[in-house]
Amino acid sequence: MKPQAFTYILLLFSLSGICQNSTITLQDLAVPSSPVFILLDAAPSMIQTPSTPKAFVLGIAQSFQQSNGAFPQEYSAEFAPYWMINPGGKSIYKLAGIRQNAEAGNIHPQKVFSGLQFTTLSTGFFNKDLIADELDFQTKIFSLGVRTNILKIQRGNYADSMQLLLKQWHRLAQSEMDENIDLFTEISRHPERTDELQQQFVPTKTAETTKKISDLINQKPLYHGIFLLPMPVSE
Amino acid sequence: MEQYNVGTGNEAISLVVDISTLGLAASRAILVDVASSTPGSSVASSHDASGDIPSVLIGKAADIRNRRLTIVTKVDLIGKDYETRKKEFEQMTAKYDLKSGLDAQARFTNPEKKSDAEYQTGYLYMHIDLIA
Repeated sequence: MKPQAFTYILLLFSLSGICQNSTITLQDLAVPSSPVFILLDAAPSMIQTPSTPKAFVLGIAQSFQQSNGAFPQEYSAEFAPYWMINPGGKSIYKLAGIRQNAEAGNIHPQKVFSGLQFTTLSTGFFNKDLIADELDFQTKIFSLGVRTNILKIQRGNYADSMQLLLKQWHRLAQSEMDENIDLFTEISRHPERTDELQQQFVPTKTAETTKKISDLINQKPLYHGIFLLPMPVSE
Repeated sequence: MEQYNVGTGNEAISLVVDISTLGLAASRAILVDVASSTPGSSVASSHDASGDIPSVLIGKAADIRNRRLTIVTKVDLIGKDYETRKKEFEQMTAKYDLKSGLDAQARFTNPEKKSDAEYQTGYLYMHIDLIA
Protein backbone atom coordinates (compact mmCIF):
# COMPACT_ATOMS: atom_id res chain seq x y z
CA MET A 1 0.00 0.00 0.00
CA LYS A 2 1.30 3.39 -0.92
CA PRO A 3 0.60 5.78 1.91
CA GLN A 4 -0.32 9.34 1.05
CA ALA A 5 -0.91 12.47 3.06
CA PHE A 6 -3.90 12.97 5.30
CA THR A 7 -7.06 13.61 3.34
CA TYR A 8 -8.16 15.90 6.04
CA ILE A 9 -7.91 16.38 9.76
CA LEU A 10 -10.76 17.86 11.59
CA LEU A 11 -10.52 19.08 15.08
CA LEU A 12 -13.78 19.83 16.69
CA PHE A 13 -14.00 21.26 20.08
CA SER A 14 -17.38 22.19 21.28
CA LEU A 15 -18.24 23.83 24.48
CA SER A 16 -21.91 24.17 24.65
CA GLY A 17 -24.03 25.87 27.19
CA ILE A 18 -27.71 25.32 27.11
CA CYS A 19 -30.53 26.99 28.86
CA GLN A 20 -32.81 25.19 31.24
CA ASN A 21 -35.42 23.55 29.07
CA SER A 22 -37.95 21.09 30.32
CA THR A 23 -38.86 19.84 26.84
CA ILE A 24 -35.57 18.09 26.18
CA THR A 25 -36.01 14.51 25.12
CA LEU A 26 -33.56 11.70 25.58
CA GLN A 27 -32.94 11.68 21.83
CA ASP A 28 -31.59 15.22 22.11
CA LEU A 29 -29.00 14.12 24.57
CA ALA A 30 -26.97 11.74 22.49
CA VAL A 31 -23.43 12.77 21.69
CA PRO A 32 -21.88 11.29 18.55
CA SER A 33 -20.05 8.23 19.73
CA SER A 34 -17.81 7.46 16.78
CA PRO A 35 -16.53 10.63 15.08
CA VAL A 36 -14.65 8.79 12.40
CA PHE A 37 -17.64 6.77 11.32
CA ILE A 38 -19.91 9.81 11.33
CA LEU A 39 -17.58 12.06 9.31
CA LEU A 40 -17.11 9.39 6.70
CA ASP A 41 -20.83 8.77 6.61
CA ALA A 42 -19.91 5.16 7.00
CA ALA A 43 -22.09 2.73 8.82
CA PRO A 44 -20.20 -0.52 9.14
CA SER A 45 -22.55 -3.37 9.81
CA MET A 46 -20.52 -4.46 12.77
CA ILE A 47 -18.58 -2.05 14.95
CA GLN A 48 -16.54 -4.28 17.20
CA THR A 49 -16.05 -3.32 20.82
CA PRO A 50 -13.04 -5.29 22.04
CA SER A 51 -12.60 -5.30 25.79
CA THR A 52 -8.99 -6.48 25.82
CA PRO A 53 -5.93 -5.59 23.73
CA LYS A 54 -5.78 -9.22 22.65
CA ALA A 55 -9.34 -9.10 21.31
CA PHE A 56 -8.54 -5.90 19.38
CA VAL A 57 -5.43 -7.32 17.73
CA LEU A 58 -7.26 -10.55 16.94
CA GLY A 59 -10.12 -8.63 15.30
CA ILE A 60 -7.76 -6.73 13.01
CA ALA A 61 -5.83 -9.89 12.17
CA GLN A 62 -9.02 -11.69 11.24
CA SER A 63 -10.23 -8.84 9.01
CA PHE A 64 -6.92 -8.85 7.15
CA GLN A 65 -7.17 -12.59 6.76
CA GLN A 66 -10.70 -12.38 5.38
CA SER A 67 -9.85 -9.67 2.84
CA ASN A 68 -7.43 -11.80 0.79
CA GLY A 69 -5.37 -8.68 0.32
CA ALA A 70 -3.33 -6.05 2.02
CA PHE A 71 -6.35 -3.96 3.02
CA PRO A 72 -9.38 -5.19 4.94
CA GLN A 73 -12.68 -4.95 3.11
CA GLU A 74 -14.44 -3.27 6.00
CA TYR A 75 -13.52 -3.29 9.65
CA SER A 76 -14.28 -0.95 12.48
CA ALA A 77 -13.78 -1.01 16.20
CA GLU A 78 -14.41 1.28 19.10
CA PHE A 79 -12.98 0.88 22.58
CA ALA A 80 -12.15 2.75 25.76
CA PRO A 81 -8.41 2.38 26.51
CA TYR A 82 -8.80 3.20 30.22
CA TRP A 83 -11.24 0.36 30.80
CA MET A 84 -9.25 -1.93 28.54
CA ILE A 85 -6.25 -1.46 30.84
CA ASN A 86 -8.23 -1.25 34.08
CA PRO A 87 -11.24 -3.54 33.54
CA GLY A 88 -11.86 -4.07 37.26
CA GLY A 89 -12.57 -0.51 38.28
CA LYS A 90 -16.01 0.11 36.84
CA SER A 91 -18.91 1.30 38.96
CA ILE A 92 -22.13 3.20 38.56
CA TYR A 93 -20.54 6.04 40.55
CA LYS A 94 -17.83 6.48 37.93
CA LEU A 95 -20.41 6.44 35.16
CA ALA A 96 -22.51 9.02 36.99
CA GLY A 97 -19.48 11.18 37.82
CA ILE A 98 -20.07 11.34 41.58
CA ARG A 99 -18.19 10.21 44.67
CA GLN A 100 -18.86 6.69 45.88
CA ASN A 101 -18.28 7.21 49.58
CA ALA A 102 -20.22 10.41 50.12
CA GLU A 103 -21.45 11.00 53.65
CA ALA A 104 -25.11 11.69 54.21
CA GLY A 105 -25.82 15.36 54.79
CA ASN A 106 -22.64 16.56 53.09
CA ILE A 107 -22.48 18.46 49.86
CA HIS A 108 -21.91 16.01 47.03
CA PRO A 109 -19.75 17.65 44.40
CA GLN A 110 -19.77 16.43 40.86
CA LYS A 111 -16.60 14.98 39.40
CA VAL A 112 -16.62 17.16 36.32
CA PHE A 113 -13.60 15.50 34.70
CA SER A 114 -14.76 11.93 35.26
CA GLY A 115 -15.69 11.64 31.59
CA LEU A 116 -12.00 11.44 30.69
CA GLN A 117 -12.02 7.83 31.84
CA PHE A 118 -14.55 7.10 29.13
CA THR A 119 -12.38 8.41 26.30
CA THR A 120 -12.94 6.18 23.31
CA LEU A 121 -10.81 5.42 20.30
CA SER A 122 -12.51 4.47 17.06
CA THR A 123 -10.65 2.96 14.16
CA GLY A 124 -11.69 1.48 10.88
CA PHE A 125 -10.83 0.40 7.38
CA PHE A 126 -13.24 1.47 4.65
CA ASN A 127 -13.55 1.28 0.88
CA LYS A 128 -15.58 4.33 -0.03
CA ASP A 129 -16.32 6.68 -2.96
CA LEU A 130 -15.55 10.04 -1.36
CA ILE A 131 -16.28 12.26 -4.39
CA ALA A 132 -19.85 12.86 -5.42
CA ASP A 133 -19.45 12.47 -9.19
CA GLU A 134 -20.46 9.91 -11.77
CA LEU A 135 -17.28 7.93 -11.45
CA ASP A 136 -17.38 4.97 -9.17
CA PHE A 137 -13.94 5.17 -7.63
CA GLN A 138 -13.47 3.47 -4.33
CA THR A 139 -10.85 4.93 -2.05
CA LYS A 140 -9.20 2.89 0.61
CA ILE A 141 -9.42 4.71 3.92
CA PHE A 142 -7.83 3.97 7.25
CA SER A 143 -9.24 6.07 10.01
CA LEU A 144 -8.56 6.78 13.63
CA GLY A 145 -10.69 8.89 15.91
CA VAL A 146 -10.68 10.04 19.50
CA ARG A 147 -13.67 11.14 21.50
CA THR A 148 -13.54 12.33 25.05
CA ASN A 149 -15.61 14.27 27.53
CA ILE A 150 -13.19 16.88 28.82
CA LEU A 151 -15.65 18.59 31.09
CA LYS A 152 -19.20 17.80 32.06
CA ILE A 153 -21.10 20.05 34.43
CA GLN A 154 -24.53 18.78 35.35
CA ARG A 155 -27.46 20.91 36.35
CA GLY A 156 -28.31 22.12 39.83
CA ASN A 157 -28.43 19.44 42.45
CA TYR A 158 -27.56 16.57 40.11
CA ALA A 159 -25.08 14.95 42.50
CA ASP A 160 -27.43 15.07 45.50
CA SER A 161 -30.32 13.72 43.44
CA MET A 162 -28.14 10.95 42.07
CA GLN A 163 -26.87 9.98 45.54
CA LEU A 164 -30.44 9.77 46.82
CA LEU A 165 -31.60 7.68 43.88
CA LEU A 166 -28.65 5.31 44.19
CA LYS A 167 -29.31 4.85 47.91
CA GLN A 168 -32.97 4.24 47.17
CA TRP A 169 -32.11 1.71 44.46
CA HIS A 170 -29.76 -0.19 46.76
CA ARG A 171 -32.28 -0.27 49.59
CA LEU A 172 -34.97 -1.63 47.27
CA ALA A 173 -32.58 -4.20 45.80
CA GLN A 174 -31.60 -5.43 49.27
CA SER A 175 -35.26 -5.62 50.27
CA GLU A 176 -35.94 -7.67 47.14
CA MET A 177 -33.04 -9.96 48.03
CA ASP A 178 -34.45 -10.45 51.52
CA GLU A 179 -37.64 -11.75 49.98
CA ASN A 180 -35.72 -14.04 47.63
CA ILE A 181 -33.42 -15.45 50.32
CA ASP A 182 -35.11 -18.87 50.36
CA LEU A 183 -34.73 -19.10 46.60
CA PHE A 184 -31.08 -18.10 46.86
CA THR A 185 -30.69 -20.94 49.37
CA GLU A 186 -32.22 -23.38 46.89
CA ILE A 187 -29.99 -22.07 44.11
CA SER A 188 -27.02 -22.58 46.42
CA ARG A 189 -28.06 -26.18 47.01
CA HIS A 190 -28.97 -26.82 43.38
CA PRO A 191 -27.01 -24.50 41.06
CA GLU A 192 -28.18 -26.58 38.10
CA ARG A 193 -31.74 -25.35 38.77
CA THR A 194 -30.83 -21.65 38.73
CA ASP A 195 -32.85 -20.80 35.60
CA GLU A 196 -35.96 -22.51 36.95
CA LEU A 197 -35.67 -20.99 40.43
CA GLN A 198 -35.04 -17.48 39.09
CA GLN A 199 -38.50 -17.62 37.52
CA GLN A 200 -39.92 -17.65 41.06
CA PHE A 201 -38.18 -14.45 42.21
CA VAL A 202 -40.48 -11.72 43.50
CA PRO A 203 -41.24 -9.05 40.88
CA THR A 204 -38.48 -6.48 40.64
CA LYS A 205 -38.78 -3.50 42.97
CA THR A 206 -36.02 -1.50 41.34
CA ALA A 207 -37.24 -0.94 37.76
CA GLU A 208 -38.77 2.47 38.37
CA THR A 209 -35.73 3.79 40.25
CA THR A 210 -33.41 2.34 37.61
CA LYS A 211 -35.26 4.32 34.95
CA LYS A 212 -34.99 7.52 36.99
CA ILE A 213 -31.26 6.98 37.41
CA SER A 214 -30.83 6.27 33.71
CA ASP A 215 -32.76 9.39 32.77
CA LEU A 216 -30.70 11.50 35.17
CA ILE A 217 -27.40 10.17 33.82
CA ASN A 218 -28.53 10.82 30.27
CA GLN A 219 -29.94 14.28 30.85
CA LYS A 220 -28.33 17.00 28.84
CA PRO A 221 -25.67 18.63 31.04
CA LEU A 222 -25.45 22.34 31.69
CA TYR A 223 -22.01 22.49 30.08
CA HIS A 224 -20.40 19.73 28.10
CA GLY A 225 -16.94 20.01 26.62
CA ILE A 226 -16.37 17.31 24.06
CA PHE A 227 -13.19 16.73 22.13
CA LEU A 228 -13.45 14.91 18.82
CA LEU A 229 -10.42 14.16 16.67
CA PRO A 230 -11.20 12.15 13.56
CA MET A 231 -8.25 11.37 11.27
CA PRO A 232 -9.15 9.61 8.04
CA VAL A 233 -6.09 8.68 5.96
CA SER A 234 -6.72 7.72 2.35
CA GLU A 235 -4.64 5.86 -0.15
CA MET B 1 -17.66 -26.26 42.39
CA GLU B 2 -14.98 -24.01 43.82
CA GLN B 3 -13.55 -24.91 47.24
CA TYR B 4 -11.77 -23.09 50.03
CA ASN B 5 -10.18 -24.87 52.98
CA VAL B 6 -11.13 -22.92 56.09
CA GLY B 7 -9.59 -25.40 58.54
CA THR B 8 -11.06 -26.32 61.91
CA GLY B 9 -9.72 -23.62 64.18
CA ASN B 10 -11.07 -20.40 65.61
CA GLU B 11 -9.71 -18.16 62.88
CA ALA B 12 -12.29 -15.69 61.59
CA ILE B 13 -12.64 -16.04 57.83
CA SER B 14 -12.95 -12.81 55.89
CA LEU B 15 -14.61 -12.10 52.58
CA VAL B 16 -14.21 -9.23 50.12
CA VAL B 17 -16.35 -8.87 46.99
CA ASP B 18 -15.37 -6.50 44.19
CA ILE B 19 -17.93 -6.11 41.40
CA SER B 20 -16.95 -4.24 38.25
CA THR B 21 -19.88 -3.01 36.21
CA LEU B 22 -21.36 0.25 35.00
CA GLY B 23 -24.76 -1.08 36.02
CA LEU B 24 -26.53 -0.79 39.38
CA ALA B 25 -25.41 -3.63 41.63
CA ALA B 26 -26.38 -5.09 44.99
CA SER B 27 -24.77 -8.15 46.58
CA ARG B 28 -25.66 -10.60 49.32
CA ALA B 29 -23.55 -13.41 50.77
CA ILE B 30 -25.26 -16.39 52.40
CA LEU B 31 -24.02 -19.52 54.10
CA VAL B 32 -25.93 -22.69 53.34
CA ASP B 33 -25.79 -26.12 54.91
CA VAL B 34 -26.32 -28.18 51.78
CA ALA B 35 -26.84 -31.37 53.77
CA SER B 36 -29.91 -30.06 55.53
CA SER B 37 -33.07 -28.19 54.65
CA THR B 38 -32.47 -25.26 56.98
CA PRO B 39 -32.66 -21.79 55.42
CA GLY B 40 -29.43 -20.09 54.43
CA SER B 41 -28.14 -17.38 56.70
CA SER B 42 -27.18 -13.98 55.37
CA VAL B 43 -23.63 -13.09 56.44
CA ALA B 44 -22.82 -9.99 54.39
CA SER B 45 -24.28 -7.52 51.97
CA SER B 46 -23.14 -4.61 49.85
CA HIS B 47 -23.34 -1.10 51.26
CA ASP B 48 -24.05 0.82 48.07
CA ALA B 49 -24.97 0.44 44.40
CA SER B 50 -21.45 -0.59 43.41
CA GLY B 51 -22.35 -4.08 44.65
CA ASP B 52 -19.00 -4.34 46.44
CA ILE B 53 -18.80 -5.98 49.86
CA PRO B 54 -15.93 -4.47 51.89
CA SER B 55 -13.89 -6.81 54.05
CA VAL B 56 -16.24 -8.63 56.40
CA LEU B 57 -15.84 -11.56 58.79
CA ILE B 58 -18.24 -14.34 57.84
CA GLY B 59 -17.57 -16.62 60.82
CA LYS B 60 -15.07 -18.79 62.62
CA ALA B 61 -13.58 -21.60 60.56
CA ALA B 62 -14.89 -24.29 62.92
CA ASP B 63 -18.41 -22.87 62.68
CA ILE B 64 -18.65 -22.46 58.92
CA ARG B 65 -16.76 -25.52 57.66
CA ASN B 66 -18.77 -27.82 55.44
CA ARG B 67 -21.06 -24.96 54.49
CA ARG B 68 -21.46 -23.50 51.04
CA LEU B 69 -20.83 -19.79 50.65
CA THR B 70 -23.00 -18.31 47.91
CA ILE B 71 -22.66 -14.70 46.85
CA VAL B 72 -25.52 -13.33 44.74
CA THR B 73 -25.29 -10.01 42.91
CA LYS B 74 -28.24 -8.37 41.21
CA VAL B 75 -27.31 -5.92 38.45
CA ASP B 76 -29.71 -3.55 36.67
CA LEU B 77 -28.14 -2.60 33.36
CA ILE B 78 -28.90 0.93 32.26
CA GLY B 79 -27.77 1.04 28.63
CA LYS B 80 -30.16 2.70 26.21
CA ASP B 81 -30.36 -0.20 23.80
CA TYR B 82 -30.15 -3.99 23.76
CA GLU B 83 -26.64 -4.16 22.29
CA THR B 84 -25.20 -1.75 24.86
CA ARG B 85 -26.75 -3.67 27.74
CA LYS B 86 -25.64 -7.02 26.31
CA LYS B 87 -22.08 -5.76 25.93
CA GLU B 88 -22.04 -4.40 29.48
CA PHE B 89 -23.42 -7.67 30.83
CA GLU B 90 -20.70 -9.63 29.04
CA GLN B 91 -17.98 -7.29 30.27
CA MET B 92 -18.94 -7.17 33.94
CA THR B 93 -16.51 -8.99 36.18
CA ALA B 94 -16.26 -9.94 39.84
CA LYS B 95 -13.54 -10.84 42.30
CA TYR B 96 -14.21 -12.76 45.49
CA ASP B 97 -11.40 -12.90 48.05
CA LEU B 98 -11.35 -15.21 51.05
CA LYS B 99 -8.58 -15.23 53.62
CA SER B 100 -7.46 -16.46 57.05
CA GLY B 101 -8.31 -20.12 56.39
CA LEU B 102 -5.90 -22.96 55.77
CA ASP B 103 -5.81 -21.94 52.12
CA ALA B 104 -4.59 -18.49 53.25
CA GLN B 105 -5.68 -15.95 50.64
CA ALA B 106 -7.64 -17.18 47.65
CA ARG B 107 -9.35 -15.32 44.84
CA PHE B 108 -12.28 -16.58 42.79
CA THR B 109 -13.24 -14.81 39.57
CA ASN B 110 -15.65 -17.00 37.65
CA PRO B 111 -19.21 -16.46 38.83
CA GLU B 112 -22.10 -17.89 36.90
CA LYS B 113 -23.79 -15.07 34.96
CA LYS B 114 -27.51 -15.01 34.17
CA SER B 115 -29.67 -12.36 32.59
CA ASP B 116 -33.14 -11.84 31.27
CA ALA B 117 -33.78 -11.88 27.53
CA GLU B 118 -33.48 -8.09 27.21
CA TYR B 119 -30.35 -7.79 29.35
CA GLN B 120 -32.12 -5.39 31.67
CA THR B 121 -31.32 -7.34 34.84
CA GLY B 122 -28.49 -9.76 35.41
CA TYR B 123 -27.43 -11.96 38.29
CA LEU B 124 -24.01 -13.21 39.30
CA TYR B 125 -23.77 -16.36 41.41
CA MET B 126 -20.55 -17.47 43.05
CA HIS B 127 -20.65 -20.76 44.96
CA ILE B 128 -17.69 -21.77 47.13
CA ASP B 129 -17.65 -24.89 49.29
CA LEU B 130 -15.93 -24.21 52.60
CA ILE B 131 -14.12 -27.43 53.40
CA ALA B 132 -11.95 -28.54 56.29
